[in-house]
Amino acid sequence: MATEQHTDGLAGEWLSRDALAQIDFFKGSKRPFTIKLNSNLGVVPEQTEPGIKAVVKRHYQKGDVICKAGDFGSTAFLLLEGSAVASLPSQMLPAVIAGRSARTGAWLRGLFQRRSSAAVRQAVHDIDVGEVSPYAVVTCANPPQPVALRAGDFFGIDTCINFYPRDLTVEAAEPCVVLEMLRSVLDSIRDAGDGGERVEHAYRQSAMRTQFYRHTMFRDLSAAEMDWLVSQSELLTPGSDAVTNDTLFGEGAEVDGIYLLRAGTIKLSQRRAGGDATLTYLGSGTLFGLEEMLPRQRAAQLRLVCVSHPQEVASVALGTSITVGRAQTCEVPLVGSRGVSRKHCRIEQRGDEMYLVDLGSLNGTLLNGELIQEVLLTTGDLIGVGDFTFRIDPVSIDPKQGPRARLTTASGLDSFEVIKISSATLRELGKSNTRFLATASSVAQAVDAAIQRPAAEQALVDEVVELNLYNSQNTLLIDLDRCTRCDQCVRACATAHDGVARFTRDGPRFGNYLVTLACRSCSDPKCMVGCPVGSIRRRESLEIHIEDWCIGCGRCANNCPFGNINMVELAASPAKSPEPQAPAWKATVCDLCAGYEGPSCVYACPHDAAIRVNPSRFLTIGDVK
Amino acid sequence: MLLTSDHTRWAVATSLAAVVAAAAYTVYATSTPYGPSGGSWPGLCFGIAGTACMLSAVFLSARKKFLLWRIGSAQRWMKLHVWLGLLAIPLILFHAGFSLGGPLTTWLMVMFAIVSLSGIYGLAVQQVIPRVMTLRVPMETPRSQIDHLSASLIVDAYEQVASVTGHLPEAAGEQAALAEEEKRNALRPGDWKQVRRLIPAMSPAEGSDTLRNFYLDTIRPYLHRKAFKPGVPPDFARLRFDAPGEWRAPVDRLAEICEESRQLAVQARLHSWLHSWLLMHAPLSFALLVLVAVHVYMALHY
Repeated sequence: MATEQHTDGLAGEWLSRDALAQIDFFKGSKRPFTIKLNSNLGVVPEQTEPGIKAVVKRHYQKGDVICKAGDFGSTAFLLLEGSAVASLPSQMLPAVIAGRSARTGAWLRGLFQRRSSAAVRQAVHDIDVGEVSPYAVVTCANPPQPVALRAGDFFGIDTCINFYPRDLTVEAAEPCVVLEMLRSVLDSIRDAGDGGERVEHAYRQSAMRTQFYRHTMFRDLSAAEMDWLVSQSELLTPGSDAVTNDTLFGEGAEVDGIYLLRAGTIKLSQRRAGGDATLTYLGSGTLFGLEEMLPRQRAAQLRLVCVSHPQEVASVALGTSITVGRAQTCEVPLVGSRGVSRKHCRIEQRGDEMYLVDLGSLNGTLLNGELIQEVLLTTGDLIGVGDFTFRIDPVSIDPKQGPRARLTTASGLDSFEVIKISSATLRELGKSNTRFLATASSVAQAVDAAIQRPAAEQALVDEVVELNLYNSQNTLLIDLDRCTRCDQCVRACATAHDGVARFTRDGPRFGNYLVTLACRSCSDPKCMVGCPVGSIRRRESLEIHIEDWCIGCGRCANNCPFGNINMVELAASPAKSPEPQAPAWKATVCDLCAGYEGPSCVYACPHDAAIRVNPSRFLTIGDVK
Repeated sequence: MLLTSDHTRWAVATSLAAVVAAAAYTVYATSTPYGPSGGSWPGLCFGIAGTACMLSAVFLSARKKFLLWRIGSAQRWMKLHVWLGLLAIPLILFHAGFSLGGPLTTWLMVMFAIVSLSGIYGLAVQQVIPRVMTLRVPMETPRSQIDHLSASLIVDAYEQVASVTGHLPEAAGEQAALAEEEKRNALRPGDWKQVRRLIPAMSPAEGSDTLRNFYLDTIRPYLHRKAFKPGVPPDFARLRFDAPGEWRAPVDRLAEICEESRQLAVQARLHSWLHSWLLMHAPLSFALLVLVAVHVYMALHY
């Protein structure tokens, strides 16, 4: 049985507000229960079935699948009668882009290869260290036992709220009655006292449990340990008491646990001489705040490695201040070298940080090719002293000791959901499960290594964050060096969409690339939040669709931070009265030409300038200007 | 189309075909006692091959009419157009035996030369101008929006000035445009694309005559200048020096507006260079095909 109908809201037995109020679940509500949808529509009397249904009642027989893991959707369910079984599949395949055959995908990959090796570095499902996209392949080596659902239980809330593919497959264990609802109805329930608390509780439990199962670090836990972990963990959002101004923790704050990012994007930044520097931005599924798994003194774990003359100059650990020069008394003597002063430069430790200071050398000291007087050092920096080139390298990490203070500031770039696991919980888990501690340490090292980047890469990160590209999964870029501005892409788009182009060949630039005003298929789409009729959603793939029942309120267009949703004035219907009518509007968005083989804009570009890519994987340091 | 390493295979194949054709032509021309002729079998072969290349190249314009047909990506069609178009040049010359012939064939050759040269010119400008435009016009906008955007800039400039000086009777056009914009905004759903305009000052700020005069004498005429003429944007140095601190934002914005206007004019000019050759290339290509058809008919009939 299909759970959603795509043309006319939800299909099923409609329930009026009064009928809903008769359901046991809603009787306990402390506040009057209201359904925003019908009041917003304002077109149907209370007891008359509306043209667009926001909440429906469904009947299932034993064995019927109510919802299936991996499916896209925008509804939540409430089990009214009977029971069901929820199970996490052993493997979930990544979502596909509609309208693209395997052949087209291969061709597109070939296209990327010619442009940048970065494009092939990682496929959609081949992800960064620690990161698990909600659209990635998920394999559970140790799938959890199915969970029994009883009358009054909610499920599918995550899909309804975050528009991620469904995590669980839910099957009817006996004949049952289920209420299926759109976001607007769920929001009303969440606002309504007791009902809201039950929804919140169900959501938090399900969200944390699923996220733990998704992550490598927690896969070795037994069912009992997992239950205990869920009960001890905390789901944080921007509105939580523990979060101040979207900041989870500040640099220098006491380390009190680790964090697992469930939804949204988190920025890790560090104070530098020139202001805050973004070290990295983290996507869904990333574990962070792992300082207690890292060495106590980061600065002491760096070393100076001579890359130009490795045989002549031994590497040196940067624990205290060292001097580099021609004199024998220097800690790093470069005897008989041309262009090196007697005392050329010094690397000083100041607190947790290392600084490079030129000591008035004749030929100067270079950092990454630039003359410096005094500068903060980071891993990967290249220091030039005469003919010698040194690199700052990290040394292997001993996970037994960790710093007590945060090394970075973690703040949300937009709305987020983060699971916090306290240090005490970690220690307990480490005692009962030794493999857990080893996995945690290796994850910590991998994440730490991933965020140690040279200065050149830093510019790339800054630019990606600046243009909000971290959240984009599929962006239309135009190579401006190739583009002749013939607008064939726009024409093709308009032709494929009844004469109305779904994007504008305009927008910010990233080097030579134009980041067009076309839907980016955000991993965390803001546009879908708050649609009163649930007409903007994902169907069975990553593309965002606006269904025909859009009422033209413009909320999605306002919510899109990039202005990629346009409101189109519909052709005026024949006027029944002589009075001028207000125009009817409908939201439009790029649907990646679902139904066609590949996006028409890319296919129709004769100059090979238009490309659809995941920008954070495609763009490279060379593209930053 | 930018010629990159992607074109290597096409370039090699085209060059090989041209070399083979040249070798065949050399053998044929040296072995024919009366010299090469388009009517001979080898000459006809060159003619048929050259015409086929021309026809293949012309198919690109047909491909552009059917944007949604999945009959090979437009990039491949463009490569076909460029390289077969280039290959047609030696083939047609071999067909003609490097002579013009009668009046019809002379016209044919002249037109073929114009079409080929304009195509090569177009290819050449496509290697340069997009890069120049990217570099020189950071505030680029779609070409079709330039007129609209230029008109918006005129209104934006007035908005900035009026926020200091109050409404200016000399700028009636700008005031009417603002009123029209307000009407349009009222019809839009919710807050979508609502522009929050600055409120005009109730009375002119002290010393605002400087700004008023500069706007009316310099900025406004510059923004109203003839399209496609970048001109020299107003020099704001003196105004910035004279203006009190609270005018800094509007003055900076006015300078930005003038710069954007200048860049739009540069873009329009570059755009016309980038595309004007097509006005000759495309229609003459079709005229050439008609003449080729006449030439074929005449050759076969007589």
